[in-house]
Parts: sequence; C-alpha cells; structure tokens
Amino acid sequence: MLVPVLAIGGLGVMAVMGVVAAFLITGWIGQPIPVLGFEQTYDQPIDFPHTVHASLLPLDRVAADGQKMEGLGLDCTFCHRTVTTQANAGVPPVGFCATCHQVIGAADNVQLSILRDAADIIGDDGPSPVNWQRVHRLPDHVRFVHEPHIRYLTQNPNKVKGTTDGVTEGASGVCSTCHGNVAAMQQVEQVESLKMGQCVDCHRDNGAPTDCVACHY
Amino acid sequence: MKLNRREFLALTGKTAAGAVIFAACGLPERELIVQSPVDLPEDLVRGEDAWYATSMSDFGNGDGVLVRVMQGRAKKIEGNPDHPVTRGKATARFDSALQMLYHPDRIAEPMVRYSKSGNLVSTTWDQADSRFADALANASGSLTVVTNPVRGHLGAVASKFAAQYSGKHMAFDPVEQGVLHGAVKSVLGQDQLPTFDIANAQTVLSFGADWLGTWGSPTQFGVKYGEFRSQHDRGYLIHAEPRMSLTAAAADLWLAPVPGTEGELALAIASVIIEAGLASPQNVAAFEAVVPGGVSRISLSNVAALTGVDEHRIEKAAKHFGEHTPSVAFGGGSAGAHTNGSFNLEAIYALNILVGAVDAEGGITSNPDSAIDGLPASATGASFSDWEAELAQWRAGNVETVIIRGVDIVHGMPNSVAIREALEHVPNVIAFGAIHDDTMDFADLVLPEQTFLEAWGTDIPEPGPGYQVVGTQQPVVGPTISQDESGLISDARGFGDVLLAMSDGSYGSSMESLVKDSLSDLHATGRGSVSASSATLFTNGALQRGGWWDTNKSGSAKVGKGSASRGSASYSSTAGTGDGSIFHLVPFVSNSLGDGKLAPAPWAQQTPDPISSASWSTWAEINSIQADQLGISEGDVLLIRSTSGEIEVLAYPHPGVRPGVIGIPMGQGHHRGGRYAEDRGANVLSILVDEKDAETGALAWAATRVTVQRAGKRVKVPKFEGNVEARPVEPGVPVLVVGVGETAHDAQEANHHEYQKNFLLEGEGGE
Repeated sequence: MLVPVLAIGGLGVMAVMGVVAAFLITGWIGQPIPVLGFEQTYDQPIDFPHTVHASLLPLDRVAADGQKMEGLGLDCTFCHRTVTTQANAGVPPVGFCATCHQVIGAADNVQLSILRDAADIIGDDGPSPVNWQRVHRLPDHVRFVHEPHIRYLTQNPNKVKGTTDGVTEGASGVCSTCHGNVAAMQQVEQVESLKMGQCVDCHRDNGAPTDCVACHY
Repeated sequence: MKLNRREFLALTGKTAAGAVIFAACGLPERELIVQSPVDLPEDLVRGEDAWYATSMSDFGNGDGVLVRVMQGRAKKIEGNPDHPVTRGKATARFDSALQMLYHPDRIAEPMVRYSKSGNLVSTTWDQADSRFADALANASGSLTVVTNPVRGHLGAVASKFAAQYSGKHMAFDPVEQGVLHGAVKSVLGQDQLPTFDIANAQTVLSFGADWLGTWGSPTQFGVKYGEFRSQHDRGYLIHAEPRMSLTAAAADLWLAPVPGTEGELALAIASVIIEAGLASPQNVAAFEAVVPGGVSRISLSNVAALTGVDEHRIEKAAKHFGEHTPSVAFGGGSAGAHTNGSFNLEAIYALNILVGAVDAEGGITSNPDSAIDGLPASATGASFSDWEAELAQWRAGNVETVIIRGVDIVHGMPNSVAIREALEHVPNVIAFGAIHDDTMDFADLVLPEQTFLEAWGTDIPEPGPGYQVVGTQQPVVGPTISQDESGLISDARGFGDVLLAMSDGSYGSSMESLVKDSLSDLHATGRGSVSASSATLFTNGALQRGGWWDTNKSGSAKVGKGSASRGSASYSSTAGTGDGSIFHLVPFVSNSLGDGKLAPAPWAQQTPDPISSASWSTWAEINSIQADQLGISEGDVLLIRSTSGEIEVLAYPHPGVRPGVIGIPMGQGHHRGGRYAEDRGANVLSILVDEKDAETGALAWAATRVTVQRAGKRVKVPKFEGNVEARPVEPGVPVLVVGVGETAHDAQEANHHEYQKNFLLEGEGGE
C-alpha cells in the first residue's frame, strides 16, 4: 500500500493520512472494541468469579471441602445496589464483600486473602480500596442511566434479550440484554458492541426517544 | 522503493509525530479504573450528589447554605432556599470559601516551635495536646482567647473556656462594628443589630454601608433589593459614601460627602424634612428627644459647605425620604469609622424615628434575643482601646498564654500597636487555622483547624431576618484523603472540640453533643419551623433544613437617647510623611477577599472588583480629574504614607471617587496565607493611624490622612475593564458611549435616539 500512497503525493501525504488514521483508530479504540473482532476483558486485581455468585446452575468447580459447587444465584442487585435507582450500577465497597467473606471461604484462599487484606481483616497495612479494571465503558460524551433501562425491561420482559442462566425476568434477568450471561462468565467480558448503532436500534425497536439529547447532554 | 537520506529523515520525523499524537489520544489509565472503596455509606452513591444544609459562620454572616457533595467531596456551595437569611441566593464568597477546604497549602498536622527564634516543626496531636496542657497549667488569670466575632456555640465555648481559667475572651474585627452596635443600642435600645425591610420601602437612604457588596448581610439585603426594585415604581435608593461602592453604583442618587461628615448630612436631611412639614409633630418630638440638640443649629448652607454636597441635592434627598414613605435609613462602614463615628450613626439611625420607620413595614426591623439561653446572638470585636490596653499587658509579660483562631491579628492590626512585639512577649501563643497566616509566624504551637464544612456548630445570623433563627452547622464531608493516598490532606480538629477536650468538661464534651442537646431544648419549646414527635427526629429535621426559626418570635425596639455629642470628625496628622498630596484614606472591604480572610482562595483573588474590575492586586481609587492634575495615570505605583507606615499600590483613576479621597481595598498584603496570597498587593490596614471614636474607643479606620506620591514605576493594573472591546448586545443596538463633557443621561438619550432612528428606518424599509 505504501507505494501507491507515495505515488499519489509522496511522504507528506502519507504522513497526513497516517495522522488521520491514528485519530480514527484512536477514536474507535476509545469506544468498546469487540467489533474489531475480539472481546474486551481484563485481568482483575482479584479473580472475582461471577459464576460462583450469580449462577443458578451447578458449576464445574470444586470447593475447599471437595464438594462440587453450585452457583449462589444472587441477584445482580445484591451487589450492584444502585442499578435500579441510579445512573450507575455501583460497585460494592470492600466492606460489603467482607460482610460474607470474613467467614465464608477458605482461610488460605489466595484471592480471598487479597480481599481480606483490603478490608483489613488480615495484614497490618490498614484498609485499602480495590481498583477494578472497567470492562464496559461508554465514551465521555454519552450519558447512560441504568435506572430507566432496568425499569423498562423489568416491566416488559418480552423485550429482554439473552438470559441469565435461563432467567429473563426480575432484577437479574434483564441485565443480559446488554451484558450477556454474566452468571456464566468466570471473567467478565463485553459481548455486545454497545456502540451508537446498537443503542439507536434498540431505542427504535422499543419506541424510546432517539433525539440526540436523549444520550448526549 | 528507494529512499534518499532526506526522505528517510522526513519520514522518521513524521512517523514519530504521528506516534506521539496517537499516544496522546489514548485513554488515561484512570479512566479504566472502577474503585471499590473500603466503605461506602448508603447516601454516598457514585455519580449521585447529596446536598447538605449548613451555615457559613466564618466567611459569611451566618448565611444558610447548601453544599453539594459527591462521593464525599464538597463540590459547590449554594444559598439555602429554606433559610430565612439567604433564601436560596449566594455570593461569589460562597464559591471561594469552598477552596479553603481543599487548599493545597492546608496545614496538614500540628506544628510546634521549641524556642521563640526557632522554626515550626511537625509534631503529633498527642504531643501538641501535651504542649497545650502545659501552656494552660500556669495560665490561670493570664489567659486570653482571641477569636473573630463568633456567635452560637463556638462563641459560648470560647467564652466559657476563657472563664474557666479566669481569662478573657476577646474578639478582634479589623473592620470594627463596635460603633454600629453602640449606636443601635443607644437609639433603638437593641443589643442585636436590626435588619431593614428594604423590600417594602419606597425610599432607602444609606450612609457609608456598602450593603449590596460587603456590609452587614449582603446576601439577605441583595434578595430584598431585588424585591425593592420589583415594586411598581422601582423604589428610590439614595446612598452617601465618599467613593462609589457597589451600593452607590446601584443608587438613584449618590451623595459623596467629605469623610466624617455623614452625621451632619443626616441632620441636614432631618432639618429639611421638619421644615417642610413632612414629619408628624410626635415624630419630630421623638426625634429631638433622641438627638441631643435636635436640628436647631443646622444651617443647610453650612452643612453643604462642610459636607461638600450641594444644598439642592440635600433637599432632593430629604424630600424624597420624607415624602415617599415608607422610608428607611441606615448607616455603617466608613460612616461610623471616624472620631465622631457614634454621632454620625446615631444621627443616621434617628432619621427612622422622624419618618416613623422603627418596627414598621418598610422600615427598621428589630431582631429578638437568642432562642437558646447562653448562646450569643450578637458579637462584635473588642474596641481598639481595649485592644491597646490588652497588648500593653502582653508586652508587660502579664499574659502567659494566648489562644488565637479565626482571625489574623498580625495582618489586621495597624503598625502603630506593634502587635508583633507584643506576641513575642507572650510565652505561649497557640494559633488555630486551616492555612498558615501572618500570626502563626509568632505562634509557639500551630494547630490545624477544621473548616466550617468539617465541624459542628451553630450560628445566629446577624443581622437576622427579624425573628429568631438558629442556623446549624454540620460536617458535610469527613477527613479527606490526599491525592497520593499517603494520608489526610489535613489532620485537623475543630477549635471547639479541642477547647472542650482541654476543659474540665463542665460545659460539654463535644461540639456535636452541644449542638444536639440545644436542638433537643428547642424541641421542648414546641414552637418554630420544625415539628417532630421526638427530639431525634427534630434534630434531624433541623439539620436537614439548615436550622430552626420561629417567625412569631420577633424583636422590638426601645427608642432611647443618643449618647454621643455632636462633633466634627478629626483626622490624623500627616506631619513627617514626606512630600506628596494629602488625601483622606478610605479603606474599603474587598468584595471577594473581605478583610483578607478569603485571600488564600484563588477564586476570590480572581473575582473582579465590581467597580474597578481589578483582581489579584491592591489598587487605589483616585478621582480621575485630580489624578490628571497630579500627573497620575493608571498603573502608576503610588506611595501611600501615613504616620503609621507606607504601602505601595497601583493607581486607578476613576470618576466615582470624591476629590481628596483615596479608596484602597483591604484584603491583600499577606506575608503568609498560602501560595495565592503570599506577598501579593499591600495591606492598607497596616498604615491606619490610631484615631478612635470618642464614644466607644473603636478604631476610626476611615480617619487616616495620607500623603500620596508617585514611586516612579508603572505596573499594568490586572483588570477586565478596558481590556476587551465593548460589543453591542444585539446587532443594531449601539454600545453606550459617554463623550467628553456629556452625562450618561445625555449619551443614553442620544444613543436611544440613534437606535430608534435605525429601527424606524428598518421598519419603513420593510413596508
């Protein structure tokens, strides 16, 4: 490709095109990138298994006592407490996790030790926050408010896409529309593009406003 | 493909540039972090704001505010719509006060100085407490607690703490209000300052008090002024002040008397009203009973000559005041800051008796006593005479320990009292504060103090709205973690809480418990704005609303008799101050910095003065014609000398200043005060001469005369005005340009005419 470009206008043109391409690619990467052909996920400071907490099914996992584990089937809202009332779903504070994990889970579990250390249950370096890697991110110029989406889908279960381990209703079922079956994910990944086209399609399908200011304000 | 060396280098450079741009456009790492905090209170939701009601005691006048808090950080201070004083309105000072909380130069931890010539070094609270206790051990009978004028629980705790050690609690206010309090007490028989029913007045007559900018309760008055101007005929505002303040600029009639002659002007106005038969005989008799000598010796022509205000304008003001009632008259600020200050203010407040405005709609509104026993509803600084006597005790080594909070006495006191020397003679100087100030350079122990956004308290606004109010102050944020997460931005404690911890415990254990106990007492009265079935619910209700008030509990005046004899103002001498022209120095409170309390806040520094539009500096307002005559132009550095000292300021020639008067804003000239305030501008307070009001002993801070001389340097005045081209508000509407020798009225008429002509032509063309 280099030769034709050089033929068009030489190095200067190529450099300008390179800069423009850099902007375009950056702009694209600034948004969720599964459309590029790979799904977005990150290693997290704690290998938090959504499967253990949210799944409703037997797991391919063995507990410390040798028993085969089953998912706890917690509602998403059990931890993401503000998703039904606020813009943000909310990430639980360390103290909230420690409510259970002060006693639940093996004492020598490496991952739980990180949590217990952060909650100052073990160690002597005081409490500290846990910095998770954000998996789902919308660009800064988009305002997404969870609350009306959860409310609408809860009231219209037939509009829910996907399932959470077979559940499509209630506080857990509706989340799958955008987030997929998180209950089956050992490590959460983004499964929908969450780009504007998808938002607009869904708004059209459901009679929701498609004015620019619905999301860009 | 063949590349020569030149092309290769060009390609390399452009690729590098592209790579840099590409990298710069990437997402910052923090954008991809979602944090699980250790604890998350239920009301602390990501992306959701919480609004807490509290009171601004230190940087306001007990103004009730709402603070927007997001994830534990205070973001914005607004007026509280429920609060009877602010009624949802705010000033630029509210915004700036927030910056004191997150100031980068906040004192992080206690500091101690082991010898008077030593440096301050960091220490722990345990060691600081121990040092504090040592300082109190031998302080019985020789302790002085110095604060700004504080009302509410903090005032009560400071007084009780001083009393426990048989010491004194003295308040210091650089802009003394003692004369005002004295005049209100004499004429209206009130301990609390009254408020004014500006909203329902037809005529407002004010003297010296920039009540729309800085005097009294500007937020409260600003709301009322809006209502005043919303009346059918917009009301009529007459303001007398030697320089054009924000209030003078808003006035329909501005009188610029010679400084110190405001009392004579008020009596002349009274004389015209009486002669014109605009006051009832009963009111005239009541007026003459209050003002010694009445108006019997007033001659309009003499007063015109003395005040420099022509007879015609005095008559115009008087007739408007007498005819268009209800009218209200009040004064303060520079009008009371003279050797005859008490006489001036008594004469001014007595005008209300003449027009029947005391405790009447559209007139003076008295404020009641405190709703809580033992809680001061009024506070003023000790008089300058008292301070001189106190500092003599310090110098004589008779005071063992001085505790200072809320006021920078080294910055606020004139050079003449030698405050630095006095502090050096006190064995234990303990200073509280959020940011290092000039006084702390002389402190043996510096303790980081919580701001009003972090501490518990109450405040009773002064002046109140005319009925009982108890404003509540609660911590709206907890201790803040520093950005690098290495610790707190300030390990501060509340002044009240530290005193209570050091006390014998007989008057409370913490400010929080004191506040809550008092609210429980209020609940027991069964009256007021909050009703609840239990004391706990009542307390929560009061905290949610920002306080408690009872509109049925109003005050009433007891008209007394003026105590000050009629006298002319005398001014300081300028002997030995060198060459130059002699001017009356009229200091004025900065619209954004106050008397200097807000100087550390960059937003306050940056806020343009409403008249000059200057910021970040100290300037001198000088009459433009007089400046021309003296060869002074804008930006000339002027040496201002009094017998107390010398400062350098920037000249700002301006038509809105009486010739012979030089107006200089307070607030700058700090040696300390954080990175935004240090060594900026000049401190006009330092060169005041110790002239005092004859009646109260208060510092006559507007009675200083100075010589003004050019220093031979020029510096550009940092201001908005004149730096940007004026633009029409809409196409076709010309900018008002006032030509030489033309009045603003003429210019407006001319421009209006031009505009109308254009408009009509356009209209005709359209037909």
